[in-house]
Amino acid sequence: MSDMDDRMRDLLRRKADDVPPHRDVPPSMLRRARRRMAANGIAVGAIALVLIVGVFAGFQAFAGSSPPAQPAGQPTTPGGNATPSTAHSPHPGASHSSMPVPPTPTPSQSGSTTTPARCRAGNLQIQEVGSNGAAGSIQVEVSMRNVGSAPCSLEGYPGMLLLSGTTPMQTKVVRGSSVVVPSIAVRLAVLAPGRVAAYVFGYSDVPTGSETCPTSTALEVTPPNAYAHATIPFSSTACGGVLTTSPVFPGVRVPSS
Amino acid sequence: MNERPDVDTGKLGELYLLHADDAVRLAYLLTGDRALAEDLVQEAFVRLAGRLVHLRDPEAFPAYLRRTVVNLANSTFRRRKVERTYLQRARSEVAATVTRGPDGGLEDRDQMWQALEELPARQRAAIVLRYYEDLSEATIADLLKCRPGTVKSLLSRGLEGMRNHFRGETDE
Repeated sequence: MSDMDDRMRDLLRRKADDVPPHRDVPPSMLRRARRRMAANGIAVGAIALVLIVGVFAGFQAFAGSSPPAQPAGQPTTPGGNATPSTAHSPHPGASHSSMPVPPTPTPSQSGSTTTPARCRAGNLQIQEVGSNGAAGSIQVEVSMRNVGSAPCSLEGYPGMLLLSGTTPMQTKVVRGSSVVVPSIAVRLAVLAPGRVAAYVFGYSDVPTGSETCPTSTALEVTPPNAYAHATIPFSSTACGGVLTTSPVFPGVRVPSS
Repeated sequence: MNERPDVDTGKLGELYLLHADDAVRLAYLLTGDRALAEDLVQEAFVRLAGRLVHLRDPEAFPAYLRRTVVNLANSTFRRRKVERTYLQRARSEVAATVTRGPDGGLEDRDQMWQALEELPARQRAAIVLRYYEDLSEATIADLLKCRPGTVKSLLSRGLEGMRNHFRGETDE
């Protein structure tokens, strides 16, 4: 075996010596190498670009659906007893029974290019217009007056949070209609300075089953597509904290369904 | 043509001048075809060109190059399996007439080389890496992507195949 090993080594070395030494670098090889390096660079750049765009898009999507950054509800389907959503609250202890529904930007009506900027809570005077009770169901109307110096617009559903003093209470905002809330289509309300828009919401003060009806003293109202809220006095005993709300409509006259 | 290239050829050119000879010899022993060996080595350098920036230890380049050459040779053999089978058959038919010359046959070394060429690619690679590169069985196993025990088997069967080749030559 040792003899075979030696013969094998000798054979391979002698055969290898048949290969003449290289004294040149083949230009064609260098050209191919340069092309490959360039292709690698492009591939790496493309991958990096895709990753950056993906991360950015993911971040945008996350930020768009993140509760603290989400403005009050923008409608997706007007009318009908539908999607429950939770009012947004800056209070860390707020008890929410469901995750908020991400707002879906809705194209404005014709002439959207001239639609003024959305109204901010700071430019709105928000107050309760009045309430009506009927067979255990209460309807409340809330108005929003543009007290700023420039026109602004509102479109969609407001956010709400019941408070007991300054303590957030469990609140579930249902967008749609009920016995006391008419079915109102989502529409753009452009508010010139001094003009007003409103919405109505309803709740039941008669408990169902083991449902409780805690007493609130105030209500945080977040205008549609806004981040800040206004707090108004609001005494209620909304059972389950369920508030069924209409979208904002121009004026204070409640449209008929 | 035989002038030394400028320093402009860059790092790849320098590495080529340093290591191409060894790589081509290895490729030649693996394939038995000098032109193919040149092509494989150039392809290996082209493939490694894009990875030079990741090469932290220049001492590791020869091993890196050897691995690439072995892989390329294996790939080539896989692609050419059908062709090679045909060529082996044709070669053996020719050898049957050529090996028996007036002096009783080819020289011993040529017979061994022919026997080596007729081995399956992996057996041949194991023999070349063991007896030419003097690599350990573990390193060969790593290069051929198999277990060390498989390398032992490849070497044993390869040498046995060569002995059988000799016996066949002698018997005839």
